[in-house]
Amino acid sequence: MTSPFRRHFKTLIMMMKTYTLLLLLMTNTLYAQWTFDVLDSGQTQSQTSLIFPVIYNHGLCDFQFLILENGIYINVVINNTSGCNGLDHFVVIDDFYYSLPINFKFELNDDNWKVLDFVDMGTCVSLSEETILESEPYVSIGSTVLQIRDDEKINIYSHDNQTFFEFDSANGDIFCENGLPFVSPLDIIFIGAFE
Amino acid sequence: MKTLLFLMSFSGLVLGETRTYDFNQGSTFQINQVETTYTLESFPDFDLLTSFLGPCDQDECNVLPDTSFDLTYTVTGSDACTGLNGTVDWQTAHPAVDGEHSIPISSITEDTVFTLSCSDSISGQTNTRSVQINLDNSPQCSADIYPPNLTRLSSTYQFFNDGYDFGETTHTDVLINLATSEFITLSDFGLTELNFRRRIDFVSAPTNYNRISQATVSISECPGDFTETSICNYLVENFRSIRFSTNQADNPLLYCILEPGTNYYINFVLSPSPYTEPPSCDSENDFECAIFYTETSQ
Repeated sequence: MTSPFRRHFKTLIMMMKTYTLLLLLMTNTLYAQWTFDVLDSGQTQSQTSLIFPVIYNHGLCDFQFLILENGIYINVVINNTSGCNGLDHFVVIDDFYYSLPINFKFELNDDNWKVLDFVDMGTCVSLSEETILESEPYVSIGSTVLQIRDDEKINIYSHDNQTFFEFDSANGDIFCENGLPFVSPLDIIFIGAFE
Repeated sequence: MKTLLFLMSFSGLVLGETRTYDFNQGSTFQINQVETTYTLESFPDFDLLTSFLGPCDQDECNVLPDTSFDLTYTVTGSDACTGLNGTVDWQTAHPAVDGEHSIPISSITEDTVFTLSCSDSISGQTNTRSVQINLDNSPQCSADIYPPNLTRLSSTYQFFNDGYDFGETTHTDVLINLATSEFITLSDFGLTELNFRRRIDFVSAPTNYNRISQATVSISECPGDFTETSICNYLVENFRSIRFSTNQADNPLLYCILEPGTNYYINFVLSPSPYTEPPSCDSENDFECAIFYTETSQ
């Protein structure tokens, strides 16, 4: 017959094991592979482990996430001071851009990037009439899910008080009804900077 | 809750500071799936004012007295541009909309520095550039200097060089079919690059044109100037070379020394002595013959 104390102790030990295992799994899964690099004019200033998710909050106009540096968790806040004045956020997919709503949140991960708000992009098609790919890695915008190219960089930047989240779809020619043709301001301003 | 706190302590996890970065124009937050990185990259403020040029498309130009000219600038990402030191009509607000703008200046009475400042109120960035405009007090150009009894033809150098400036390409031919009753002055001739050499090689014109006998070629600040006040003056025949240089150390006996960025006239007349001898062609029966040359790099 097991005493209530022993039962409680065994339960506690099991919970500890479970939490420890869960924590180790989370640790390995979430930040072991990804780093957060800070560069200034091309020179690396710091390189730390990145803990997902990265959340962009339009209401706060910032990115927030955790990094791990020398065993210490650090909150990171990236203030989008110049690109946050209302209806001035756009997601760019292939050659078209789409307005993002006020107070949207964007959850950025390792293989999925999700706009956590309603966005009416309209019906999407592949201009070459191929089936639209939706596997990981993908970007999810409202009810639209689009597989993105994993060999291209995703760029987020601001220009003239506007913020752009730029993706290349795996199809390469996605057009949704509410899209407008996009000409990157980086082609003019930052030529060479992102090469 | 107590268990979770205990476990965090057990695992050695420590919550630390908050680290803040600015994400201004010129920064990018980049996600690289191949390298599994999120990269925040900042660059120095880019230039709001990418160019500010005088009428010669340089930042230092000469202008004639009582002559209007334009100052031209290109601005991006600014919301206010102001003319600082310069003439009174310059010292005011100027367009700050993205793109190129030309501002007319009525004239200057002395050598003048014009300064333009453009700023972006959101980022607080300001960029300033200046141009130096010098008053050209050289003698005024006059038709009195033209070779007598001849008709002046005028055009630009680029018109005869397939649209290219002098020194820009070696893949064009210049062919000028000139009557013995005419001389021609081509404006916008010059070199922009410092310490740059160029040669032009005169050859006999294509067979469907008449050959010249002798011609005078001059480079001058005033059109039609074949006198000693011209910058250079050469007698050419069907085969002859003229060398140009913007290196002031080059021998002026071998090179026609040009000021980089200065616009000159290049003048042609079918006479070895334009003020004393009437023009002629190789054959005395021809009254029209062709000057023909190509540019060659030195």
